[in-house]
Amino acid sequence: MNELLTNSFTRVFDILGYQLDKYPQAKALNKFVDGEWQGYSISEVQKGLMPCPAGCWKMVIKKEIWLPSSLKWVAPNG
Amino acid sequence: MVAIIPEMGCPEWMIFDFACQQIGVVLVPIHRTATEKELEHILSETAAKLCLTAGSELYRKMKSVVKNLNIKTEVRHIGPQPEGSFEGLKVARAKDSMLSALQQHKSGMKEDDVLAVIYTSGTTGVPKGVILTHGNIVSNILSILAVFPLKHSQKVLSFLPFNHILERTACYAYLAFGVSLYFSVNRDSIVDDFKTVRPYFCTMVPRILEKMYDYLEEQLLEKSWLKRLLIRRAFHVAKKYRSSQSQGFFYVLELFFVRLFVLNKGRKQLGGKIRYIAVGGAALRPEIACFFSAARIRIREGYGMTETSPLITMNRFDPGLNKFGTVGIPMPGVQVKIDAENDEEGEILVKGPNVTQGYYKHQDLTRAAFTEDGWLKTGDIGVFTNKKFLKITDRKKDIFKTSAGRYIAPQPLESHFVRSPYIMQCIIIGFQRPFVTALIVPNFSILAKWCRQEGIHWTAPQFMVLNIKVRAKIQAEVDRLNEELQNYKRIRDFVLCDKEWTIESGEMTSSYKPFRKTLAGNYQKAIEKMYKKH
Repeated sequence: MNELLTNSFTRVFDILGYQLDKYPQAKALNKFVDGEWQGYSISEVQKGLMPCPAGCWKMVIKKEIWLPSSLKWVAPNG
Repeated sequence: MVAIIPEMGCPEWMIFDFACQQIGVVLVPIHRTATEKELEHILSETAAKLCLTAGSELYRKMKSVVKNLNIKTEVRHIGPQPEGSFEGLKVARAKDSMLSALQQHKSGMKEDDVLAVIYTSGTTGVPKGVILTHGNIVSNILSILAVFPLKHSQKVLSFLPFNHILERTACYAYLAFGVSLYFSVNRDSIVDDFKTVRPYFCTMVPRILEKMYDYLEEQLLEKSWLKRLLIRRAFHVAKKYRSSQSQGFFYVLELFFVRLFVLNKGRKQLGGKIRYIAVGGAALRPEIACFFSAARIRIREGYGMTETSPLITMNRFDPGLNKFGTVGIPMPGVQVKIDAENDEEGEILVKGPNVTQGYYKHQDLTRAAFTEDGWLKTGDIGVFTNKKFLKITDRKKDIFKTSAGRYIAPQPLESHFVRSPYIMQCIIIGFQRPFVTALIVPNFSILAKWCRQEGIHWTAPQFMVLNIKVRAKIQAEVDRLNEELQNYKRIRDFVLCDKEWTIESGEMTSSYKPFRKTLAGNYQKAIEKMYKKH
């Protein structure tokens, strides 16, 4: 396996940065809207990502979050 | 945890997925056709804080499930309707304090952190939550990068449900390849999407290819003799197609003509630029793989399961590393062995960085799933052919003994009988019965054409399955295929079913495998009646 790749990402979301560095794609993710294909680049996706966790945080995580690394219930700021 | 019920993939699901990953929220993807009982089980076990659905219809279904369970799961959807819409995707700007807390979480995430708990459809029993870490999925993505023939200038179409582990891991890999990823957001628009996107690559389940193949077989009943002749010739030439072998001059010439008049039309239906299709989820009939490969669409079958993130083996796209009828060679970094002596058939065992640590909240099931030395027991029976290609012969749990003491592996028999163009679906019955019988769903579209040709008045499937001539036609097909089998494996009688088994009817898993117990239950009376006749 390519060692360069192995070192490039260890967590799934690292792929975004990897793609942005290696192959910045103007139309990385596309969907059909109002009769035409609309594309998003990874930079746009990342811009969309910023408020999204905040939105999740606001809606769900404010209460309690199941943190997988600790495998126990903890408070959001705990 | 957050439960998601997507339909097809779309950029929003990917954004939400990546967002959750960064703050350590574990996603629990659920198939849209999950029954209320399954949904109740999953929500109770995971105690998901939020359930996000694709549209308002699923939203209402989940609201009702949550209400019945009396739990505090918040239900939202990402559809256009304002009621119950998820505002998480609409927050315009996050506060600096929030962003800094998020950044802290993100940098603290490690590869052995849990990414998702995926409930397996399972053809028996209650769904089990498979724990998959970032490391599990990343290892599979890296092996896909080493195997799939993709470059960043190419287009890929995604149309399998986003909760499907194969599609999800493949989508992550597509992003790493840097290709343009197009999502079909509507099941009815897939055919048009192929034509407008003109993809180079896609992943599929065999059912879709089978339907395309069946459609061509249906054309054999067309009135035009020339059309019939060309299609029959195309089937004949395609059957002999082997990409790695050099063929004679006349074969090449014939291949050129059938490509020109028949096979290229099939390729055009898929946009005209498609070169490769990776197939998984269920067994692919070798003649179908051969047929599409003759049309210059290289079909490569792979094998995997949710517990292995998912790919275990895959036929390669390089010359000489593909064998139709097998599921290919182990993925890089994945170890596969057969639990048997002397290269015989046995249970397939897997070890590697892609293998799950176990089932959520079920240590007993986890212990039972692994050998003492840490190999995952897949429950599938297989054998290595040519010392490197894995061939799946059956599901361990599905093998049964007739009351006559004969062991029957139903899957190969079922694949054998669906080779008939008149048989669309089939399951073998015979556990603790004196002989083998079957439930058969005819291919109604072909049958209707045949009826017209024979002057039989076609009404509706529920009446046609009772028609003596129709039954005799299916009997003739069964008899023809029985000829190739040992006596004890032959279908002695069958029930003709009047409806296709679907995921929606709860008779097929999300990866198109039959729920045997459900089907046997649904047709119990007819099965009993059939055995009493003999």
